[in-house]
Amino acid sequence: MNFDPIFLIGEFSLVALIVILTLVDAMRKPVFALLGSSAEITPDIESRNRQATWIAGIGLVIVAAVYFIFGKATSGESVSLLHDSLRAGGGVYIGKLAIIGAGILTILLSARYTMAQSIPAADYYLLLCFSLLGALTLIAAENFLMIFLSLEMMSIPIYALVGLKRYNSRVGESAIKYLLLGGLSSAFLLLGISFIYGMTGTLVVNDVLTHLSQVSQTVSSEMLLMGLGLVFIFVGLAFKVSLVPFHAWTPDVYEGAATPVTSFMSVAVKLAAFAVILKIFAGSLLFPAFDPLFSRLFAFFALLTIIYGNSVAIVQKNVKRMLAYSSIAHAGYMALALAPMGHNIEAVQAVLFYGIGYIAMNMLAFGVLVYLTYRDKYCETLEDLTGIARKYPGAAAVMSVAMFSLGGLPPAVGFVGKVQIFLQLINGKFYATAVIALLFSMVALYFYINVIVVMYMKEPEAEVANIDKKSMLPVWLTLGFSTLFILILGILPSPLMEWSLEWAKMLF
Amino acid sequence: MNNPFTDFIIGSGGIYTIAVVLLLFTLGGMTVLFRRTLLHMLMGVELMLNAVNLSFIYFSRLHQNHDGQILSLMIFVVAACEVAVGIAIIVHLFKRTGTISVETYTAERG
Repeated sequence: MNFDPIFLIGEFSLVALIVILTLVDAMRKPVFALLGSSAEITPDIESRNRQATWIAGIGLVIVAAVYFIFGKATSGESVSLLHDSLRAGGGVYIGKLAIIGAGILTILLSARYTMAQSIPAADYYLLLCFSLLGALTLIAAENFLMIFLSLEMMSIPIYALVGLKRYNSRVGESAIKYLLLGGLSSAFLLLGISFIYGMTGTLVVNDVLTHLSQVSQTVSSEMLLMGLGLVFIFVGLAFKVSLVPFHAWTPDVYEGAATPVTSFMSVAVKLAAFAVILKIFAGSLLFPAFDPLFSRLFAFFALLTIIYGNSVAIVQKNVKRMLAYSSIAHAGYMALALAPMGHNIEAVQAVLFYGIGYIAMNMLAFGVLVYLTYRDKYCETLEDLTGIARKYPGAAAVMSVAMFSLGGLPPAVGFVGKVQIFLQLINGKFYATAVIALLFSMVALYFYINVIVVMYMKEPEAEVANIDKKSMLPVWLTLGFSTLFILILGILPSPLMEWSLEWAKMLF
Repeated sequence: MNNPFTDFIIGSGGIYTIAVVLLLFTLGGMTVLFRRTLLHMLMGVELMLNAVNLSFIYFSRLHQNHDGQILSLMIFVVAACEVAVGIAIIVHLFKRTGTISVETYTAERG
C-alpha cells in the first residue's frame, strides 16, 4: 500500500494549526506579543483572545494556500488512501477550498464578535478548526467508517460551539437539543450502515454501490434490508442538512447559537453533508432496484422542505429565525436536484454549484447581522433592522444583495443556481415538482424583499446605535468578499460551473 | 443475485439478532423522544448506539471480517465524546436553572 503524504498535506497542516493553537493558549500568556496592539503587554484575557484570533486567521489562510497549491498540483489523478478510506487528488480540492473559505469567513466574522460577547476565543477557534477538519475529511471519505467518524468530528465540536456563547439563557437549550437530535441522527445513519454492511460485507462505498447495482428487482429479504439501510442512511444525513420532517432542531439552534457559528453551521456543515448524500445516492439511482423509490423519495422530501421552510419563514419576526427557515428551504432546493439524478453528472454539479454559492449568500446575510451587533445588543429582529439604511448605507446595500441572491433574483449567484436546478428538473421530466417549487420560491420573495423594505423605507423606531466602525474591518472583509463573489459569479457563472463540475466528477 | 448470507440471516436465527437490534434501537429512540429528563434522553441515544454495535458485531462475525468490529469500537469512542460534551452542557443547564427536566426548556417554539 503506497501512501503519498502529499495528498493529505492540507489536512496535516490543519492538524498542525490545531496543535499550535492548543499549545500557545496553554501557555496562558501572549507568546506572539508583537501581534497585540497594546503597547504594554499583560497576560489578560483580551490579548490572549486577540492572539488566538490572529493565529487561527493567519493559520487558516496558510492552510487554504496549501490546499490551493497542492490541490492544483495533484488535480490530475485521484487516488485512494489509507485502505480506501479517503479519496484525494482530482477535483475534491475545490470542495475543500470552499469549506476552508467558509472557515476563514467565519473567523473574520468572529474576530470582533468573540471579544464583544466575551467568548473564550482560543476554545472557540480550536473547536471551529476541529469541525473544519471533520468537514474536510467528510467530503473526501469513501468508506462508511470514515464517513461516520468525519461526520461526528464535524458535529461534536459544533455542539460545543453552540453552547459556548455566554450570558444567554437559550444557548444551553439549543446546544442540548442539537446534541440529542444529532445523536439520534447518527444512530439512524449507523443502523443504515450496519444493514448495508450486513448484506454486502464491506464498508467501502464503491464496493457497496457495485453490490447494490446487482440487487435483483424482485422483492427479496436482501432487497428489503438493503433498501431499509439506504433509507436509514438517508434519514441520518437528512437530519444534518435539515430536510423536513427532520428539521426540528434547526430554527432553535440557529437562533440560539452565536451568529458566526450559525453562519458556519448553515453553510459548511450543510455542504459537506450534501457531498456525502451525493456520493452515496448519486450512484445508487443508477441501480434498477431502487431508482424509482429514491427518485420519488427525494422529490417528496425536497418539495415538503421547500413548502414548509418558505411558508413558515413568512411569519417570522426574528431575522435569524427567518434565515434558519430559509436555510431549510434552501436545503430543499438542493435536494430537489437529487430527484432526476439517475447518474446524471449535471444534476450533481447543479447541487454543488448551489452549495458553494450558498456559502457566500448566507455568510453575507449573517455577516450583516454580526456587523450590526454591538456589546450587549444583538441584531436579530426585523425591528433592529428598521431604517438602518440611513445610518449604515453600506450594510443595508450588501444585505439587499444577500436577500436578492437568497430569493433567486438576477444578477446574483442564487439566480443562476436556481435556474440550473430547475433545468435539471425539466430535463428529468419532473414538471409538477418544478412548478410547485417555483411557486414557493415566489412566495419566498415576499420575506426576502420585506427585509429590504424594512431597511430602506421605514423610519427607525428607536435610535440606531453607534457601531465602532474601525473594529469592523474583518467583518467588512467578509461582507466585501461575499458580495463580490455573489455579483461576479452571478453575472459570469462559468468559472464556478467548471469548479463544481470538476468536484462533481470526483463523486462518481 | 442469491446471497448465501441472506439465506443464513433469514434461515438460521440471524433474524432474531436483527429483531433484538431493532427492539433495542426502538426502545432507545422512544426514550429519547418520550422521557422528559435530559440524562435519560442521553442514555436513550447511548442505547441506540449500542443496539447498532450489536448489529455490527453480529454481521462482522457473519462475514468473517473485522470491519464491523472496528467500526463498533469507533462507535464506543465517538459515543464517549458525545456524552462528554452532552454532560458538560447538562451540567451547565443544571447550574443555570436548577433542573434538567425538559419542560423548563420549552421557551422557544414556532
